[in-house]
Amino acid sequence: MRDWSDVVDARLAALGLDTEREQQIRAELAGHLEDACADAVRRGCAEEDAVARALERVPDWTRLADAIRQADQKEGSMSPDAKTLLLPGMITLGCAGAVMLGVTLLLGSVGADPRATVPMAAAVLLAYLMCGALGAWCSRRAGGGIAARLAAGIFPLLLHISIFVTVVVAAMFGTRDPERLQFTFQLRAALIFIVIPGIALTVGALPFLRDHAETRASA
Amino acid sequence: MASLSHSIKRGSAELAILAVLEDQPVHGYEIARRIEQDTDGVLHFTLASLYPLLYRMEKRGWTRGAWETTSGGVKRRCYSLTAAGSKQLAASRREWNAFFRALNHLGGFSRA
Repeated sequence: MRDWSDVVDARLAALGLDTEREQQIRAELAGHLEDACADAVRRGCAEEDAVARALERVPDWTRLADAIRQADQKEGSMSPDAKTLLLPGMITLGCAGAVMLGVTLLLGSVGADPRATVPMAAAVLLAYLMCGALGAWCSRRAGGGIAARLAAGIFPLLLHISIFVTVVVAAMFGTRDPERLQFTFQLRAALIFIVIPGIALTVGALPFLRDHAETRASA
Repeated sequence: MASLSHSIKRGSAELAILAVLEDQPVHGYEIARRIEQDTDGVLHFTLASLYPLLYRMEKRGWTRGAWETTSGGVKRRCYSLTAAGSKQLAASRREWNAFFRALNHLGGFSRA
């Protein structure tokens, strides 16, 4: 009876994985070939034919080693959620954070010049459109579904919501300015700080919620 | 077109594997044998197409592999479906149904 472990060891190049994992894979492949050979014998094949049939299942041992190596390493370092949502989301968040920092610095230098308000708001909205697009694009590239792409695009809203909640809570408990305690003030703040940026991010992400043009055209 | 073809192949192979594992834990050779048998040989796996896919699916958390002693007394690594795998199977079935419905709608099958 043929020792299929020897066959695999002789033909399959080193996979470069840790020893235990490599041994497991080799044992698994040897078991597969052994079963294929035994199955062929049960169906009436001569021993030599059965061995040949089993070996036909590995037309290219180099390709097999490459494919296993890639499968074992390529997706190993990051989970699908991390690749399609968290990483693109963090990239988007970083960009949005940079925009907010830039606005803060600009406000410090320009001051409360009313002429600067509209161009600055337009620039921020444009930047947020691009942030939303960037997040959704990164997620799509990583194989994210529609929900992951949208979530990656609007990821900076987490920062906005956390700041908004902090500001509202601080206003409720820490200010003596009656205007800040009014519901309309909070509503206006929510509109400016959450709804409008959210719309900009969503609109930016929208074009990337579809699949690639190639897929659409081919389908 | 090449990437679509590749993704269709991989997607259909993943669906086939998940469907086989739906009933009970099965080892690699048995997975390939059942798929070949149930598809009249239309879906055929080499080791290079089967095992990398199995390892990817395991890494994604769709399947779980464990060494078990078979009825024949030999040790084989058997794969079972996880909860995430069951969800993925249901999603894949929906996607493929939608895909085939779309092709049918275009008349692709009847005119082929």
